[in-house]
Amino acid sequence: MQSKKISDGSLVKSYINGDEACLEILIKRHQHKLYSFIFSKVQNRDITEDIFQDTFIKVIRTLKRGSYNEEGKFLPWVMRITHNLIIDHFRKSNRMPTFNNTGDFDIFSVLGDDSLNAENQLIKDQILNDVKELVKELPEEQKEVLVMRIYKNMSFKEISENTGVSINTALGRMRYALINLRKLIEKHNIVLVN
Amino acid sequence: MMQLYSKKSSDLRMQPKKETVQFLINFSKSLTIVKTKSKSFIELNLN
Repeated sequence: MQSKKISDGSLVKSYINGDEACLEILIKRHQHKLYSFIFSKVQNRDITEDIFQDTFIKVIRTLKRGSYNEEGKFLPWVMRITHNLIIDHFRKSNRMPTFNNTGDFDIFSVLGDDSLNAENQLIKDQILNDVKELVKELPEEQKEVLVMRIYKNMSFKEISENTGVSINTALGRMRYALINLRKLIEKHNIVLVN
Repeated sequence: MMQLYSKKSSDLRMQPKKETVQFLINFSKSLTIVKTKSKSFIELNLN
């Protein structure tokens, strides 16, 4: 089989339809990228091997169940599985960097990363999308202030002028928006760490 | 010359062991998933 000419999507389809040889092609095509990504995070060969194996066990199970529905996005999907397994690993070993849940904590501070590679960019994009979805669940007044402050980079004075409320009220809404975002993150069990 | 190749050989090691890949291939071949009437799944490892 000429693996170079066949897209991931076609290989996935053929695999789902019973062509087991396609799995090997998919593994070998992406093994270097995935393995390097895992190793860059955990810095241990044995753990990297375990996470790599667990990733593809999940991939195999999902594909064989017919639950895969991300046509054309095979690698980002596998990267996300890998990312979650790395997070699980750090959770289990209690080596995950933690953030104090104080009033000073800014959820958006964890999103900054100046040296993104392709994999990290994919994950960051997903995290940003997750945050956007969470923001939609906020009460309208809090959402309005948060969007102006974070996405439009407006000062609280400008927000106050635009919304017709005092600066203190705008600050309060921002504070509650962040508190509620944290609650939503816990409720949905979402991990927002790159 | 040694140094020219050292980076390359290090790069090549950034891949899983052959045994791991073979395990996954065998795991896949032995795995059959059956969907039940109640829409749950039963995994069968047929070695």
